[in-house]
Amino acid sequence: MDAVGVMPAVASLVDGDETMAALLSRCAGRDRRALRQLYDAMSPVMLGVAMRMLRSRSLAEEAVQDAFVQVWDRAGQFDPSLGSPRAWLLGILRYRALDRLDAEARHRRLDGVELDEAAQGGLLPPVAPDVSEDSVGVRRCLGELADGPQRSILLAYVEGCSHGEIAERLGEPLGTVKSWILRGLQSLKRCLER
Amino acid sequence: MSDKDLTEREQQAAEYVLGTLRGPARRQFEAELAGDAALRRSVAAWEEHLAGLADTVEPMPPSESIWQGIETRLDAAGSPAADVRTIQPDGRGALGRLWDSLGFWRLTTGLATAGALALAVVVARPPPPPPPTLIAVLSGEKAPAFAVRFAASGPNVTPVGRPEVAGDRDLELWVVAEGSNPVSIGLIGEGGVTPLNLDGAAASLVKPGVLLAVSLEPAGGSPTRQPTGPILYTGTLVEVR
Repeated sequence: MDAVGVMPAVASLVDGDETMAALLSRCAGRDRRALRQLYDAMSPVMLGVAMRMLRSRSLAEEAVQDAFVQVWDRAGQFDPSLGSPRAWLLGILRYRALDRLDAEARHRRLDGVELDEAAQGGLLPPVAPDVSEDSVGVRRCLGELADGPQRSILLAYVEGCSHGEIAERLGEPLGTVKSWILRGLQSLKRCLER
Repeated sequence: MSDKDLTEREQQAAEYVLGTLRGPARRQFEAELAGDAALRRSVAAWEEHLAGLADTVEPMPPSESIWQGIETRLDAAGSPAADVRTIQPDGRGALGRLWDSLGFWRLTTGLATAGALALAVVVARPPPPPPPTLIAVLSGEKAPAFAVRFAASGPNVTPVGRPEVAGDRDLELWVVAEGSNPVSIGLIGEGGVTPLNLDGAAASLVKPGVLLAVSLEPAGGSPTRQPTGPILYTGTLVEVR
């Protein structure tokens, strides 16, 4: 299975910032094949992220579609001096997934149901991925945070949880969670910029 | 407030990127973003700061229908379409290498679609000799349900019976190698052939004689990265020459 074994290394070649920036600029020039190449490089991780946030394959697939339609429309606005293509694409994906979570939250309020069954019923673990062993960038810095802020930030970013949902999942007061997140973000920034 | 504290604006930008700015506040923020370059810089910086957290998430192989949906929407929006199949590959250099690696990646993951894209890659760089093909037929109590195939064209799973799944559940496929915990190699889509996502760790477990199992999981797959529901189907990998 050698051919399969080398896959991650090959995929990371495709992820190169310069290459992806070049593809985005070709998208701005309406080259749809460039969009397809970006899609091939980024859709597995984007679908993975959307699945974690939305917990539904069909909603996640729609969010990925929303994201790539928007990438096509806004490719000309990508500015490589502000950040990497990967971060820009992940941002767009997550905002479109959050649109869907916001829409779902509106429905739930209309239905008079506070939280969906999955969030209440223990289907979703309150445990975030273990980051303590991590040595790179934000994950290293996150590992330096206290448990509460660390878990809150991961639940927000990875699981798409709102303040209220995080408070519920961790069994902590809303105000505590809000201040954990603010303090946590502040510490992250300090750590990343030092 | 020390100079290391976040300004209120930067707090908003950070929470917008993190995802805790929600509802009307988020929509308001997005509206302001359009006309505020400093705010856009702040958002981009936070996107960069936090993007590494996405690496904690397992990538998932997309089904080809997602791309088709994107194309349909772009066509409907009247975007001038460059036809994927008729554009020639770029010259060598960085993009040429991308072309090779991308094509190779598509070939090995089974995501390749028919057409010039894949063909061009074959011309540019002949693929390595194919590894042996491994297959397993996964059966439940009654009858075979799925065929799983690891071949040079990429791993995939095909329904062979009429396996039924409750609407809000997913079937998840696992490699169960002796001496290690089951490793998920993907969710099985509804109908048709589902391509599988094998990372290095899972790929190294795929050998003749290894057990594959399908468990019933919450929609989206096991939240714990280990099987949580009943094992419905199992089968052993054999090599096919």
